[in-house]
Amino acid sequence: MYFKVLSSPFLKPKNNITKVMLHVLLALLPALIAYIWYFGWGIFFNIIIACLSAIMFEAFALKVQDKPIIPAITDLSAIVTAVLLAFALPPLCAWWITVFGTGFAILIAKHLYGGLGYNIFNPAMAAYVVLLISFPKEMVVWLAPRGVDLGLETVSVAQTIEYIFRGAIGNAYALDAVTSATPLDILKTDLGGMQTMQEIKTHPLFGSMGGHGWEWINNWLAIGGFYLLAVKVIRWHIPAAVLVSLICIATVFNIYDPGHYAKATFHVFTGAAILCAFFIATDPVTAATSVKGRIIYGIGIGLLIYIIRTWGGYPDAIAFAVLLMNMCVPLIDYYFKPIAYGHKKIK
Amino acid sequence: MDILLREAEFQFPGGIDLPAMKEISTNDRIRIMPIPSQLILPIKQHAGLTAKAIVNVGDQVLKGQLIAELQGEVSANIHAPTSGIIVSIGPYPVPHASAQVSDCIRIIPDGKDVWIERPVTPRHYQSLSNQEIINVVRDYGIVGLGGAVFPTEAKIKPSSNNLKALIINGAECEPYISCDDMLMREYGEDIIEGIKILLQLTGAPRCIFAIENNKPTAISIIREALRDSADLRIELFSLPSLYPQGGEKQLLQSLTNEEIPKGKLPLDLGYLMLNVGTVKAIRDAVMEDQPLISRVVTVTGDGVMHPQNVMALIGTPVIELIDFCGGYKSKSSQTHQLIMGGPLMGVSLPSDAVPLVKAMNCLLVASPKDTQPQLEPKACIRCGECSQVCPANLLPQQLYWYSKSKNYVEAERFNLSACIECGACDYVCPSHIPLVQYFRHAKGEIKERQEQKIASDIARERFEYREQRLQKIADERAAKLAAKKSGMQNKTQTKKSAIDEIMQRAKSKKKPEEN
Repeated sequence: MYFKVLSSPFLKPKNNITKVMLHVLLALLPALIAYIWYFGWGIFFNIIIACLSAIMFEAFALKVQDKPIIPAITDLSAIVTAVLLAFALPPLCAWWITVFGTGFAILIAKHLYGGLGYNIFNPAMAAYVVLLISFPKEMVVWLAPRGVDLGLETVSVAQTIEYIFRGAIGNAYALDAVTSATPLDILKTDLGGMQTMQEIKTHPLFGSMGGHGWEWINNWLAIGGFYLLAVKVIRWHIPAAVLVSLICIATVFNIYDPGHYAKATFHVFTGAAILCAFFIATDPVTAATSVKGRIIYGIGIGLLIYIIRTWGGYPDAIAFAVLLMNMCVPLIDYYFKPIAYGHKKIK
Repeated sequence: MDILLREAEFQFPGGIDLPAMKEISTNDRIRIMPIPSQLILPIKQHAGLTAKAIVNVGDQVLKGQLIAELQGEVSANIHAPTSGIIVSIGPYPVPHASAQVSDCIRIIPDGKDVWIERPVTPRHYQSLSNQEIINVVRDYGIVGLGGAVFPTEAKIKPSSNNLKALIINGAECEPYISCDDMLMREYGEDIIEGIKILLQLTGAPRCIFAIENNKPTAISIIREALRDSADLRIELFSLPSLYPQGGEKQLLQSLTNEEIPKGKLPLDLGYLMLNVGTVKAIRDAVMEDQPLISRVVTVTGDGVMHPQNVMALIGTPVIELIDFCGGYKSKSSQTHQLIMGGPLMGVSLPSDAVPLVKAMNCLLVASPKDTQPQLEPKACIRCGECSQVCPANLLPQQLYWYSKSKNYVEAERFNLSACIECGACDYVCPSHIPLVQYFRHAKGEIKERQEQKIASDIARERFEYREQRLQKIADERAAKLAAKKSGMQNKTQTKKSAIDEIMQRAKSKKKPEEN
């Protein structure tokens, strides 16, 4: 009898990219629900717009390059990029901003560099930075989280849809009635206004550990992150390095001057530090590869987050920190290689 | 006296947890297969130099008779597995992925199974000298039965002194394979006796017997045998079931935390490592004068009717071996694979018209339930899972980039040569990239380039030497010429000076007269 000849190993592979990406999406689900609970349905519509446009742009990019479309779309990597970008956008966000951002992420940050696996910069973060720089006003339309009374009107689902597609609710002035700053914005502006941490923390937007509402979204993100660790989609090195370095530097400055520097818990549970640690910095394509390299990479991100948040021009710093460290990855990979078997220096 | 069962203290980096799949072939005892219709014996079944056939077509041979003689230092003898007639000596398909043919001696058994003359009384190894034991191992064609088929004599000969420990490899980490497991279960005492022979031979102070913990029956039987033997030099270790625990380098690392430096052997660190099957073969050779003419092979997989372990004669046609195990489950082979060895490091065979060779520890008839046809590879997402599981501490994804782009200099800088091709990276890759295939190809290319470099170096040296030689001849000639020239000049000069002298003299004679 004759048999087909293959090259070893022959075992069924354990994993596939689609499964990995599905795990990531699943891990984001609880945080998404919390997000919707605190900030309304805006993010939900943003995700749908981002996903649809991501599929469109991905298909277009593949078509132009004459690459097979179906396997690349079904690997869900574009969807993950879209969802992560939507997580970074404010809940009230005009549709064209989302589409523009997704287009930049997929076409420029991903496919111009060669597609999945070849991109140097995290596509979602690159797109976020482009949006932040291009549309600074539109990118700060934040709502007050549920349960915080700032004397602002609440936004209904219909109003959300209206804003997303018309760029306004009713008349232009109504927008001021519903939007607010994020806790990191307040920290930045109020510290600039010579208020101390203790005074700032009495602001109703601040919760027990971080920003009100934010802390719960972050808790759910952390749980999602632990899920990813449990199913081995990510390894512990990067999240641990990001969070530990952020906590360390924040604690040092907080001890030095508690009046001017927020506590470590505040830095961790406000803004996107946890999202970054578990979902963004761990993007394998743009992270360092060896264990040592990943720890260095994570520490770099953690420190940069603190430095940019504290002394930089922007309230949150995730995207900049990640992109800056993305640039260092080739260098890190070059210098931090594991010692191969049998190559140890003999003492 | 109770024998301690100790856990291995250390762990090699990486590794993968795999379903053992051994239980499907360990339900029955090892079955002894009757003499097949013909025996096909490749004259190269071992690492090293090919043996030389010393019989002719038409010769009558007896069981255990030498039919092919080893050549050089690293080679192995081949013996007739039963009595019969040599019907042909020539090319025949051998177990190889590319349907290779190689010289084989074909024997039609006469069914009498008559042994060649052997000593009547069983030997006592205690009375044998080291040289005598080594000679037995060499003469009886013993090779490593773990799969590498390295001639055992070449391995044990230089190991007679300064050995730290003898290590017996009973890990058998690859899924499906269970021949070592069954051998330990059924021939525990023989294996212990073999160890004692080796301890006497090498003078090693201790022996580490290592078994993976997914073989509890084998462990308890060996423990029992050790209790009976009351030899305190032999220590029993259980290892976590983690592929590739049974790799020589990985096992040594798990047991001693020592790494074999690049280009060295375990022997350089003071360890001699042998597979349990090899130990049993050594014992049979020394105690019973039995050459390596049979082995235990695991016939398994979803494609075979009755998976089991079979003690079969070397040279048995694979098809008859399969028939002995109830034949194939399905008549169509389109979706099936025939694998020599396990599903991770085995060799895919194109046909079953090949013989059982010394290297064949397992014959896996794999249906789509067992293995999967190669999937379409996707882009590498640099997830790094491959480097997490690599037992050699490499960065397979970097090696993949460099191998793919044929940048072999960089691939070597990332220590491609340390790759043991275990396939762990391949197994965990979410993009289904055939990493090992790339690495094998790159290694082949690097080897070829090195050989070319050596050849061109030799050619260059030869050319330079020739140039030098020609230069030397030319120089010598020029020197000679110059010497000749100057000699002639001297001559004319002396002539001239002689004339001058005479003239001078004549002048001086004239001068006083003028005054």
